[in-house]
Amino acid sequence: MTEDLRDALHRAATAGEPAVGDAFARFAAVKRRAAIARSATVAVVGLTAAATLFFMLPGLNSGDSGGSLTGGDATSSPPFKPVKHYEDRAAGFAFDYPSSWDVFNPSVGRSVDVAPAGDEALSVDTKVAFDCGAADRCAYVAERPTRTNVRVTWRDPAQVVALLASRTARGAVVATEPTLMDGRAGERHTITFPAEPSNLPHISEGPHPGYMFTWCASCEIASIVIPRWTGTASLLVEITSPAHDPASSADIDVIIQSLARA
Amino acid sequence: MADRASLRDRAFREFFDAEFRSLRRLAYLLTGNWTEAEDLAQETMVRVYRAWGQIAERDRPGAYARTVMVNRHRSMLRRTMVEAKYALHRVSDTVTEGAEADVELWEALKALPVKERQAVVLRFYEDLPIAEVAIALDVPPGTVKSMTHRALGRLREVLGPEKVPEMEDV
Repeated sequence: MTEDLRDALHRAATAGEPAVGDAFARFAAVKRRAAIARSATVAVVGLTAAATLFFMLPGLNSGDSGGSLTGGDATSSPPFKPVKHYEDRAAGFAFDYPSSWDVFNPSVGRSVDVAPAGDEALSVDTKVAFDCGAADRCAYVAERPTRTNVRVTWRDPAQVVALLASRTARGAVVATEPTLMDGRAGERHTITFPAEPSNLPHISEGPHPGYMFTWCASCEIASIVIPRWTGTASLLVEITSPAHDPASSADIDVIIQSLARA
Repeated sequence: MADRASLRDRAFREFFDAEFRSLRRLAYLLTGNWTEAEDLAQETMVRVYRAWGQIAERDRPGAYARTVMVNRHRSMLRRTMVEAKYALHRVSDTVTEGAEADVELWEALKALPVKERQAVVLRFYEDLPIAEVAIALDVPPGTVKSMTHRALGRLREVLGPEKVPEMEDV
């Protein structure tokens, strides 16, 4: 009887098995990408330990968004590193970002007023475009307590590395291993954040508790902190990429769209 | 220094060539999907490579690789299992690969909790003794026994007692 199960498993293990091909060449490519992501991980963990979280100003047209940019250090400064604070109350966004960052070049985007947080459906999209420029990392936080889809269109380059990081209750920073999303133009990837925060790493402390989703493309890292949900939510990453131009900056269009509760 | 590095790389390459196929098959039994199996096997090898300096002298770096793989598998599942439940974009669920072979087996395996599935695969596909399964799963040997017992019970319900052993027979 034991042999039947073993036989079945051995048959199953080879059913439809594709050729190994040049597996080592594939390994070399994976290793290269992992090395990039590891650099990002170390950087993310290090900065997260020193600052609240990574945040980046969105490129909002000030006439549309009503956002304000404060130039000084925020009161919500982390223990180790001063941050600056950005708010866009009309759009419901707020950010803290390390005050040492001076790389933000806002690009004109469009934001639309969204309905207040709650169970009701939010019927509008908010599109935020911002330019990571020479920054090592960009981040975006959405303070939407209802279900939220965040669609990220990554223009350049093609490869996106998703990294989830979290902070434990005692303040220690734990980074998960990077999730490599080998993006090709037009692809969509989904990472779903569950209703129960314990299922995935989450930020339990700091001024913007929630889930953090960070991605890196050739180490221009972007982070999104999503507040803890009461329901389900999805993060859609739609990768669009022209040919990579090293001289170009990486623009990110972030579309935030909330869904009605099912 | 360069000689040591090239020796190291050569040794790892030999290990890779010898083990990759079987690791990928193990990954396939864990994931049910050849694409994910390839990813899991490659990620595992990257980690083994990183730790090669420490593990190369061990008698069985393959055992280390399997431990890494089951841990990576669990991490992968943490990310994707909720997606499979809620997402708009379904996680690939291609049990149809090779489905002619053992659809019932696949369905039964998929239905097992992760660690039980891992325990069954490591015990009955890899033929690892309980002690090694315990190391790979980072649980006490007694837990491996109880997980295996439960898993076999579940498999027996689906596949029938003629195909799945009683725990005492193992």
